[in-house]
Amino acid sequence: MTSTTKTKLSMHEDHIISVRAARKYFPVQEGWMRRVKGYVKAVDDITFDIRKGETFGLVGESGSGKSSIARLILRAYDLTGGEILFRRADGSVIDVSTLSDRDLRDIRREMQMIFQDPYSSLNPRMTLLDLVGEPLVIHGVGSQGEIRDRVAELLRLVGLRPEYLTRYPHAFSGGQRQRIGIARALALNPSFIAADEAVSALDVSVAAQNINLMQDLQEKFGLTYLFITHDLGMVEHISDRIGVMYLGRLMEVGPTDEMFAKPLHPYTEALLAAVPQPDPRGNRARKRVPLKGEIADAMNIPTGCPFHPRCAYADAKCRGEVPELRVVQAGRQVRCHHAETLDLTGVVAE
Amino acid sequence: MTDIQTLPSETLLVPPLAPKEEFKADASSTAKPWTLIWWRFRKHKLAVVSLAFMVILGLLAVFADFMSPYAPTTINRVNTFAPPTVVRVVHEGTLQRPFIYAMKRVRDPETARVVYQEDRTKVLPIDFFVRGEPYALLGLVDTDLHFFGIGDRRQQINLLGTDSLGRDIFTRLLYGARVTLSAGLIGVAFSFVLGLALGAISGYYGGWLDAMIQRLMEFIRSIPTIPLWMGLAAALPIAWDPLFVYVLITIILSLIGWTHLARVVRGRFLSLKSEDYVLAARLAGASEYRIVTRHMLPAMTSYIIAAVTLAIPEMILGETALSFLGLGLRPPVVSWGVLLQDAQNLRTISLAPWLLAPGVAVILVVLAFNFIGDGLRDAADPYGQ
Amino acid sequence: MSDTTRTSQSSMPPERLLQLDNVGVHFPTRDGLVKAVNGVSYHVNKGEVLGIVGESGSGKSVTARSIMRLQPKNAINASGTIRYRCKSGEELLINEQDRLGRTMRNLRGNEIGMIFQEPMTALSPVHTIGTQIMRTVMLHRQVSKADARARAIELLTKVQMPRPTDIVDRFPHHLSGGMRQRAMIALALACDPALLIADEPTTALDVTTEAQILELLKRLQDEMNMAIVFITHNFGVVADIADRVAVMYLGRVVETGTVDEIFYEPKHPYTQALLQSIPRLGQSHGRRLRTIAGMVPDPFNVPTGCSFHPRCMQAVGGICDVKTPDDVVFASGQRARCHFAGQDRQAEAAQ
Repeated sequence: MTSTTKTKLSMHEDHIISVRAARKYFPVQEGWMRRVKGYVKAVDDITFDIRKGETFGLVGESGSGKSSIARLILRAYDLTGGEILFRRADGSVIDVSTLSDRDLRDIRREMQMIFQDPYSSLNPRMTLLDLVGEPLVIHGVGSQGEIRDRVAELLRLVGLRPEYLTRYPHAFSGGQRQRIGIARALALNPSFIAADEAVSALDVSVAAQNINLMQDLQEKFGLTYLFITHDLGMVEHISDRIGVMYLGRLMEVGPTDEMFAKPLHPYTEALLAAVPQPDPRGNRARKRVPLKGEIADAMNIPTGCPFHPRCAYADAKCRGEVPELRVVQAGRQVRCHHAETLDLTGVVAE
Repeated sequence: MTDIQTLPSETLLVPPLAPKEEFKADASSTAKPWTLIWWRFRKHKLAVVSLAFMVILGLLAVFADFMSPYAPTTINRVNTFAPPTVVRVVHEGTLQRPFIYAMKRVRDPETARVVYQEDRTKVLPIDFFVRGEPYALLGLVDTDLHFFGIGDRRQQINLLGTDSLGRDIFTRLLYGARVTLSAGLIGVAFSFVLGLALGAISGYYGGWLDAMIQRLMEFIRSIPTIPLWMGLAAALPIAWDPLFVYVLITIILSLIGWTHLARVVRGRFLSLKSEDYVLAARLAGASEYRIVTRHMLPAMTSYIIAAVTLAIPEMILGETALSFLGLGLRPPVVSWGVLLQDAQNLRTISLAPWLLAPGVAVILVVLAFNFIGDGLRDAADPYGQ
Repeated sequence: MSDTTRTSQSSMPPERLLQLDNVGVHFPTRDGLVKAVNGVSYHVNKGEVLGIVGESGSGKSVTARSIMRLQPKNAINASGTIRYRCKSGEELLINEQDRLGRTMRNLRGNEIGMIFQEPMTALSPVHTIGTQIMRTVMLHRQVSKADARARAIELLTKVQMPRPTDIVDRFPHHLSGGMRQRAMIALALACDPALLIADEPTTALDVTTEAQILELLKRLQDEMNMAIVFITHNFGVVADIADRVAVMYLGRVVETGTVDEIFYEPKHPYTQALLQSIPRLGQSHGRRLRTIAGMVPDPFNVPTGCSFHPRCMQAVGGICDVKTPDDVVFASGQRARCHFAGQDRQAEAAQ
């Protein structure tokens, strides 16, 4: 493709991340000899791209494998199969899943993560200076004084006072701690940040503050976000494109507005219908039919389409054949045999 | 719907988080972890009292030769089974400096038993910094100065009485504290090394190595301790140097005692491994060495110290039990267990109950260590609620 | 029942089931007295769903627990009365009862049921679902073991548990999160309570399961003509299930009204701001979220005057930071604890 691509790996020029047929199976062990009795397919045959500068939302219920994807991209876990391509700041493309430890260390400057739990994600025994400055120290960026100045600047950037440098995390509220985590993620000027349920643990008013902050930072630094959440309202608000996950598989990918206005997968439709809206009249008008049953055990994924036992539209084909993720409209992919024939309802904007 | 907060674009980067909040210089927000632990430990009154008690006892043991009026092996044939001397301040209705009455050794005409009577006319004032038997302070300075004593050479001050050979029990108790407490500390040090190493390997690497170490620990814990001690101690030849036996005994104790510590270390490693902040450090590019030394070990030290503190009494009880049974330390070494051997006989106890003083000391020390350990354990995580 | 249970004060209107007046619950802590609940008043009529919304630290759960007298031991019931109308029609002053006494024990389960966010806190892990329900039934009713078991299966069927005859002999850890929640609801409904207190029952669940549980609760409420106090921080859930809503902030109820009043004509600046800070499906993409400045103050430093004033965009110096506002009552029955509720200048500000 481009001349900057040094290896034979290639991806679309606009893309920063390309996840290709990624699989992650966790062995389930049993007994004192740790015999493997089966695998949890946390991520199974996932393929999607993230464009430079966009926010890609990943939604799904618990156990859908959405958090595993972030950890795979950041190589906190090793892939079982497939590849994850990342475009570096210099334009070169690398496969994150095969990097050596040393190259990985280098890559960590360019991709970072924001965690869900503002309490367990900050070491309580370190001051803000040590916490936010740790990535700088590890990568040997600048002298002590320079690191101090940089940390102060980062704190200011996320709306915290630079005077807080010597404080420990326990002196801060959940929302503030989350901002400390954001400052730490920004320390090395990354181009890509995975936010794993970054505001789920926060109160409504504080979550809104942090979402606005994240959007401002994205604008200022041209960041690309992978925004993982179970909150459909939040994901719609922040994402340009969305992937919907169910039992380790991607069911639908597409631009937010189009997908929410007219979903192509029955699961997306069901998810959207399930969200209770802060709109009593609308709720009364909209006759909600809750989805039957519950998400299957990740160790015993149903045959065929994993969603078929709960799907209102399932037929014999769905029970027998695993659908592929396929393009049905420009920019929209869906993993459903009947995507073309189904007429699904999304969210009707008032 | 209109958005009230349509702020100018340049101010957007600093969202209004707590605009009206004042900058409070709260001491606790910048307090170091150990300061927080100390603050929380201080709230545990019993632990603080126990800590003070142990510090005093430790000093007494270290300076046993200075603090005690006599030498532990000095035999006095005319002062056997003497009851504890009563220190008084009032003589014939007038207040005086601390003194004791002289003791008269008389024979009960009916039972022909030796009894001691106070001679209320002979006042023997207690002197401080008196000359007595020579010794080497801390093994370095030769001196004969003792903290307290009485001037009369033929009379003795026995705060806790004397034993069958007329040796001063208070003196022997202090000397015994040296051996018993140090046996506890050395034993814990051994088991600390074993427990930390095996627990860390178990928790950090996991897998089959973890499974093996776990099974080994379970096996050791399932062996009844007293028969095991007895077996191991019986294997020690009687002719060996008592000091060498002492070291071996502590090693035997620690070979059994390390499992508890290993369990604590392993548990902490396991729970810390899944902490998000450890993952965050890894994602920042931190090396394994940095993660272990900067993130995992500091989060563990307070727990380890608490566990070590709670393990000491176990060691002390082990030493006492072994020596009491005659399987551990033997005379002439003076330890609390050895001292308690004298109290094995019911007749002696009924005649001279003060021989049980070392037992009381053991109870107090074990309780104190347990209280300190409890306090430390409660304070170990100053960030949890 | 004894004389003390009868109220000497003005009695409640006949449709009233539960009434809290000026309830205060304080906790002595190392760092000072925490006024977790500071003068809360609300009421529940027979057969209605009262939604209680608030952020963390608003005291919504503590208040609910004081209805059941299930607070921690060190809680101080500082003030207020809690009145409850029993099935027999008698009025009971809950706050005067011994928390371990027979009246309270009878009240819990028989008159008032409670469900929690985490079902495993309410279900015993060592007994089967059936045993637990049977025990509750036999505790409050004189029935045989066989009848109790039949009742357990009936209850499990009622909460739409799949395969109730099988599940009745299962242990809680065999069940999925949604099924545990159903089992806990069945347990709470064992004796047909007139009031169900639901403390964040759907917070830990996925949206599809949450929707199922909400539907179930609505149907049960309708069938059994039961009143529900539904505590949540999720405005969507409240809008879905509640008839009336009380909004709490820092240990006080700041606004009460019907669900439509709260969502379409909020009178308190806090309610208004909160409603605007939630992203809504279908209309919020790309729009900047409105935020509330600052954060919920810590309970040791509750601001003087109106406790919301440091974060309020419409606070007026000299009034809001000095005087604690009283409820402003509107003709419709809506109440807002704000000095300027319903006044024009506020309407202007909201535009």
